[in-house]
Amino acid sequence: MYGDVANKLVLEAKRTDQLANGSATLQLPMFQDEMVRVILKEVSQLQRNAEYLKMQEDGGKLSKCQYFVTMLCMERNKRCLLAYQKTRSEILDAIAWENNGLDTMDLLSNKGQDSGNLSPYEQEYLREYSQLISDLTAGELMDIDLAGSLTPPSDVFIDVRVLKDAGEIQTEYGVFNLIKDSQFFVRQADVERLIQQGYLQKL
Amino acid sequence: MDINIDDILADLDRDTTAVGSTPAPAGEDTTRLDDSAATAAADYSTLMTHWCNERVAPELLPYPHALMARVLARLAAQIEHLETLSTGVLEQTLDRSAKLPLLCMEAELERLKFVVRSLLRCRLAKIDRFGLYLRQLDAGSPGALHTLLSEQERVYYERHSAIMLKLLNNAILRHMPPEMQAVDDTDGSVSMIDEPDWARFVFLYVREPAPDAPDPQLAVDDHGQPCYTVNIPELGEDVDLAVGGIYIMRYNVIKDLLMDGKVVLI
Repeated sequence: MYGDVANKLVLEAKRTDQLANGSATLQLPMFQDEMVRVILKEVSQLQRNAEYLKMQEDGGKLSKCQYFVTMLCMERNKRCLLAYQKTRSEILDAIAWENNGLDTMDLLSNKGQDSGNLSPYEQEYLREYSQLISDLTAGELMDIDLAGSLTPPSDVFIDVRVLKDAGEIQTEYGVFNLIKDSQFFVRQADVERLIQQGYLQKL
Repeated sequence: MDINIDDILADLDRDTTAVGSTPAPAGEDTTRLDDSAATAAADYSTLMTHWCNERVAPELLPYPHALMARVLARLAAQIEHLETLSTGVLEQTLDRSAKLPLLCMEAELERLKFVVRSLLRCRLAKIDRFGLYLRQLDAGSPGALHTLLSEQERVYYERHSAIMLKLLNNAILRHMPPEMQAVDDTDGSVSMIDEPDWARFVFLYVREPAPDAPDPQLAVDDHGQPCYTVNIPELGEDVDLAVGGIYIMRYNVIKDLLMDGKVVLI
């Protein structure tokens, strides 16, 4: 029946959502290009049907009903497609907030394994949205650091352990020599970004 | 015979504290930037209420333009002040005792920054969610967005809805028949505009009314306690909200009281 593939797509969207909420690191499964194409093909078929039905105006009640059902099928397909795309774009937003606005903005290009899963339009969207976020943080709200941590600060100084070797890293507040498995007692505000990037582990 | 002299004593108190407090800020309180100490604290508590309300309310609340401008200005000034102070400390002595006020100020700044950041992020999330609804609102009454959103939020809203529309258009809508290409279709079987859930249940706390301003809405209930009376339309029932009480209510019932600041959400 019409709408069956769309139903599968919505199930996929649901799985995507669960995957994103379940794990600590956000990840996006492959864009279901094939399924989307099949649904779009179905829609164009339905559209041809609708045009044909429109042509024979004389049918009265019967053709009116047929036309209406065709329209409903198309609407259903549209709804499923949009829901799928919206779910994915919301996860993209979350990725953009989590990773960007940090010191290294070109992080996006480094994590190439994810960008293979995105459709070209989504890549463009992600790039533009990251740009938007960095513009927002660079404006009047510079002091606030909107992309910063959303857990309330409790201590001024914390113990951190270095998880992976990073050599000498220059932060805005001074130089750290990050040698693997060494430990520091530093101000939380200085290392918040390094924790978000995964170099340090808070103790 | 008892003569109540509380007001005379209060008068006297006011005079003496005024005299006593003048030298105090100059001596001990160098951290304060402006002499309006009371307003800074008051602003902070208003900010906290606003933050709590925003996080709980189902709809986007109006942006507190004046309050945020003051808070941001104070934040910038304090950061600058802290920087000059810490460079001064480096040049002079490095004994531990001098560092305590610096630490406190830093921690305080971090906390304030966190509150503001959390508030703004919460608002941005709501703007994302109700983008189409806001557009409809703007078309209905132009200028509504100016009170509802700040300057940056408006820029964010415009740009984000533009790129989102571009994504949907490129990926899906372009291949749809022309009469189905709208993203804000309300005539179909399902309305595509997501409205705030006006009837959501929220916890609320009824605040004490201001002592010197009589409130026409304030009534007295059977037990002699002051209360506000609200009407729940779908039940046709009147409910007394006693001052100091905590209730669970539908949001649309208490929206007006919330806007007047008579109740706060928790």
